[in-house]
Amino acid sequence: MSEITITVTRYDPEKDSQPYEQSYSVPYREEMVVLDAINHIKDHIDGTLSFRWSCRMGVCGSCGMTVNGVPKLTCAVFLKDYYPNEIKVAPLANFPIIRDLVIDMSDFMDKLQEVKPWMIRDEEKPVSEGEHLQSPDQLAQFRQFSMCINCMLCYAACPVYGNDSSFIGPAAIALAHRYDMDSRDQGQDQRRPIIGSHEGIWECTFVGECSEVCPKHVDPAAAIQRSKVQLTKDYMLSMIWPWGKS
Amino acid sequence: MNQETLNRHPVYKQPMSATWWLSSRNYFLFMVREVSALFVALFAVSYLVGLYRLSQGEAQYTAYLESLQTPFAGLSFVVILVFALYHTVTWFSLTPIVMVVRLGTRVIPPQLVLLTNYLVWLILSGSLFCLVGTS
Repeated sequence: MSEITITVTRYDPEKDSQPYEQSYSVPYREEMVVLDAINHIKDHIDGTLSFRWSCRMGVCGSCGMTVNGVPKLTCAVFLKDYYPNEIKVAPLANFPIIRDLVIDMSDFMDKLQEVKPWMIRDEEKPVSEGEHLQSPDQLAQFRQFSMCINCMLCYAACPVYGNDSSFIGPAAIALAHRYDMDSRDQGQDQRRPIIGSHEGIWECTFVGECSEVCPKHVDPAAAIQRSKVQLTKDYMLSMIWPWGKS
Repeated sequence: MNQETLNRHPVYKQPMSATWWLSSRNYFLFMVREVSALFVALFAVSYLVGLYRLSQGEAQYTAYLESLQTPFAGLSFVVILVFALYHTVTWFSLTPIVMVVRLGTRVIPPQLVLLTNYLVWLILSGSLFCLVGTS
């Protein structure tokens, strides 16, 4: 059977001062994805290798890693796209490494909560009044942004976040935009101070790589730029109509 | 990353290379777009100097125009033009992503938004050319 070389990043915080690379020879089959290969390493060659994974079908967003320098969901990258060349698997860039291929995602989780990505209503209407109706057109305005699976590939691809981790970042802003654009939501005023802060949308320089690597075609770069347009319009309107709602 | 997070467990902070923008074609093109803004600014400065010279009188303005006749100035303006065109084209291509124009429930096709940018550019440049050409 043919084989392929998988080189993975290793790091044990109790032994290593910095990460290093280790190569493994893995049986190659055309239908295998990178996650299958590193699972093979874990199950048959070296049980100490640590990495996150769960669904194996591009839904859970757990298995994001850097494959040959590009952030990818390893369950969605086929070995045949690289074979017979070596594949280098590293942790997602821009995040601290806990161990081997496992990154510390707590910064992202904190930011996600900060932007309040849930439905906010001024007043909840009683169930007896029925559901909040929404037209297909209203749904279309935010549907794309609701596809985010929190895989953090966009953060790994974002040099702005890499240079300054105080940036709220692509996915969190895209999710805030998703709720801002939802006709049933009334929480824009609560999200605006976070989104419109220096660490929010204005830090983005529109590199656009977040949207390139997104496995769900969410286009966070578009969400950020559209938020910029919306906030600028709101600001200009508040200048000429200061007694109205800003 | 906040201190609370750092205290939870030891982590290795991945450094960001100073040459990150050379690691992929997209990053490199982004940096070229950013740098192109400097050349657009250079042209704006030279234009403002021209206006200032014009305000000082005909002799000063003529001297300014003559200073632009050197091969170095000519080459500089060619370089500036190339970067200004790159700047314009790359930003125009991003416009449909930023601007979603709606007419009622219908969304204007992104290509039309892009085309409108080029049309306005053409009309403004043409008008300016006619104005300068006929004066």
